[in-house]
Amino acid sequence: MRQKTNLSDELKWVARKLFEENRIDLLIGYEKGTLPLHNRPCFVSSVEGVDKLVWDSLCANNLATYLPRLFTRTHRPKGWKPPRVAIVAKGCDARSVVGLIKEKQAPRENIVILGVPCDGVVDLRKIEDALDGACPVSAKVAEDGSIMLQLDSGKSVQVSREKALFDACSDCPYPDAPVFDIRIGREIGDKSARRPFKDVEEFEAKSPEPRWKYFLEEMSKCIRCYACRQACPNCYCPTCFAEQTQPKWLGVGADLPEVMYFHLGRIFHQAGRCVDCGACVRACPMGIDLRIFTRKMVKDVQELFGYEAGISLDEPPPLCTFKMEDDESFITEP
Amino acid sequence: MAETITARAMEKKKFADFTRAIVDNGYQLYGPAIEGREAIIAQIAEQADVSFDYRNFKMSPKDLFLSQSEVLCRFCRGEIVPDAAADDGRRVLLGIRPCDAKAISLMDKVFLQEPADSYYKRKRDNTVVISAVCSSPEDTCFCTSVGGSPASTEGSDILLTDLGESYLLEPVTPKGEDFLNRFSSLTRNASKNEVREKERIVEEAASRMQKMDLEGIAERFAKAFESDLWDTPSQRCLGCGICTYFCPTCHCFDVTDETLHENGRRLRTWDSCMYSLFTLHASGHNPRPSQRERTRQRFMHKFSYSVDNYGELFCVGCGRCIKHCPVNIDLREVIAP
Amino acid sequence: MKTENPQSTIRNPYIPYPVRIDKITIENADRDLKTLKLVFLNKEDEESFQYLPGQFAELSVFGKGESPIGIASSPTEQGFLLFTVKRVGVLTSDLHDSEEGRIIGVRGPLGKPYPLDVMEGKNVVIVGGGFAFTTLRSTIRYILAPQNRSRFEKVTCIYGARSPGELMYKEELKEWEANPDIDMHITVDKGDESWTGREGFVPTVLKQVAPSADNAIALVCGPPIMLKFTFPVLLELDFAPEMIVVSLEMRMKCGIGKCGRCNIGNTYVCKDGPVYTYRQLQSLPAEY
Repeated sequence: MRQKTNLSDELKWVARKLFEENRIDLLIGYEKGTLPLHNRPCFVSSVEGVDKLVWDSLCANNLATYLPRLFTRTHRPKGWKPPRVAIVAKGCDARSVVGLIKEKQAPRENIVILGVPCDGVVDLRKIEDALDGACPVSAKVAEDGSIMLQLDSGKSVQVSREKALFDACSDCPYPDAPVFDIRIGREIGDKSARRPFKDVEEFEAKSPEPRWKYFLEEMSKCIRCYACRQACPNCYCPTCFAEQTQPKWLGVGADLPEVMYFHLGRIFHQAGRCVDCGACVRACPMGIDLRIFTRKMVKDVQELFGYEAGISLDEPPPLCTFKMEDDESFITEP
Repeated sequence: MAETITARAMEKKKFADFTRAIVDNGYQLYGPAIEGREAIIAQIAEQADVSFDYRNFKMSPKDLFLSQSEVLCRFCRGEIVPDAAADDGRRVLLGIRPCDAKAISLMDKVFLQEPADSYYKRKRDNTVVISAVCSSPEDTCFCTSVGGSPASTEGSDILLTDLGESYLLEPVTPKGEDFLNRFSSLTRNASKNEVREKERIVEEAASRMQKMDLEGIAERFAKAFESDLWDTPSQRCLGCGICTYFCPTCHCFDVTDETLHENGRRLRTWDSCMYSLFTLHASGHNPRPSQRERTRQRFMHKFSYSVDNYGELFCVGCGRCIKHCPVNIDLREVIAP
Repeated sequence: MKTENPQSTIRNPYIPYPVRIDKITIENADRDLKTLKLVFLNKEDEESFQYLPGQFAELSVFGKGESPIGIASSPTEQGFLLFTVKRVGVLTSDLHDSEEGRIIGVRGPLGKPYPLDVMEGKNVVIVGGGFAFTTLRSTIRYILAPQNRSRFEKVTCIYGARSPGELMYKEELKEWEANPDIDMHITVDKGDESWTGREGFVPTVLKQVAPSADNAIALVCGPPIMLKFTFPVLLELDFAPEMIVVSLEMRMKCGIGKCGRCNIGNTYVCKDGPVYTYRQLQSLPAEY
């Protein structure tokens, strides 16, 4: 019987069935990691690996980022066939999958989207802030969503769900996968009326100087490890513009002008594509606030073209289409 | 070591005089600074209130020897022009952990071997390294498994231990000895109790770390080259450069030219074997075409090739790669017997 | 293979010597191979640039970067260096667009040469394909030099290219074909109407020529696909794996074993190679 009580168990049940019915070759999901609070991506290729699957609010990574590389045709042996892949997808992740399908980076017929209901993932940095230097040795998610931590000092600490939640999650308009093949658990329900751009509006309201200052401050933290890009499902270019040599757009150093150029390029390439999953921010080891800038793109595209990325498979991406009535107000005289 | 009376001690209240004297003697002083929740190593003012109660610096001090971006030479209209002598001056690195100091000694093997890297050598020669014994390792630390200890001395000129009321200062190299002698008025001979207390601190810290038996790992890895050991970590790997950039011994670099109008510079910058373009030939051929080969390369380099070439593991157990990996690739899982 | 490495005399190993492009020769019909004749601007630089066949150098153009290129000239040719450059990337394209008289940089010599000490007193079989013939040209020139010829026994050379127009060093090939000191076998994958020579892939021709492995050593240079099919032929001819010598191509930057880019197994192509024996290759991962 299909259990409705525990999402991890239900996920395992579905995964097992998919393998037993030979409907997939690979499943990308989450397993328990080696560090407290770190559930991590895992690749399951047979029914034997199913039991390690977990699903809870510690499953933060956007797994869609792994899809393009599974379907690239370079370096494949003769007779290679693209795999059939099931992917565990929160609302944001599913939107990324949709984006990749639309951008022809993953064939729809090869993907089984396992939509999981997500009421937010835990932000490790917020937990670290709450612990103030203390070292957790284990963590678990309580019934009410709060995080229970065991410290190396022997003490235990509880951090409330509200305090632990990743910023993007508290106002997330799509807690359920808008496009899915199999739904795990119960739908959380429509939250699409949420328009979480308060911080962007506040930022826009500032004069250019403080905005520029903030941008520079954030950029100066960058060590150019490309973790933001690598974690981002949208950044699948085989050769990123930042690393092209013919022509060479920018230098490879971590000096401020190069770093700014790289991030500006990346941010603008997110227009109409970013689903605000926060993968870039979570991957960044230097804690750069990249979201304020990518979200400006999200907001602009929404306002200019009424488009939200990854909501439907049919709606053409705004930057790939032209309509006579398209807003032109952003075009300025040189 | 406890029997030799080379160990010095300094009352904590004199430490500000010590740092001031260091700066007055013409050294640039690099030491611990707190940025948000994290400790970093930065140039500090002489009156800075130095304390060593952080776990470790967020990033290793390798940038101070192999800068992330470093000008190799400048040129104008295709011809080399003399650089305004990039004299780094004499420096003191205060408070790096013994694992990071050991990493410097490993980098020495690469950069000081003939032909010596002149840029690295100059910085190395100009620097006095005072490392601080580690009393509170993180749960990602495993230095004792890779031949280190919370008090290992490789790469340090002086080893400092925070004893609560005083600091123990043990010279490691003649350079460190000379350095301490210049400030002898601020130190006194260490007592046996102080030396014993240090040993207790070190034992306590070491006991908090898990220890893996890595005997024979070089041969084990060499045999595992074609095995499935690399499958799981490489499948998960995003191909970012965090592990290599945070690693205190990773030293791969790129050399590129940058020009603006007629002037330009030849630049050395950190690079990473995790990047897909790292080995890509101009012809389009790539000897390490997938993340599997690239992930394997990093592990093989640290735990097998380096043993063949330098007789050392190129891992000091600082745990930064584990702590910062966005997908929790835990090096300990790969190297564990 | 022990050969002393002259590079250790360089002071700052990253700074190239200034050289002038004295002459540019287009080598092939596709016009993507050009040989640059370089002359040192400073006598003392020339004196410290002591090299042997098989070594390479980084050609340097400030503003464009550096590229590792095998030295095509032989140390027996005094007063200049030759490099045959294929137009592939930023730097090589820039070199191709050069005019004679331009000042560029050269950094080296780098890497280990062919094992001349081992080759001495032996029959030398030279197998080259395509544009990788450069350091083999250096070797042939070196061996044929009157002061060196008696140090080596019979020299056999099999050299092939895609088409007649792609054969490099055409004048010299003619000279060598007429020279009794070397047994030349030139082949092309496919000839044209004017081609009267041999047709066939290098490994096939090698099999037909079948040089004896007795007291012989083989030097092999060519594209990966040629290497793949040449090794079995040589082994079949009874060449011992340590008597098959190959020069590898790899992406490099520093050229002195520091930057980590050309790492294959526990070796660096730039300082431990680019010359390897087949025996060594067998013990290395196939990451080249």
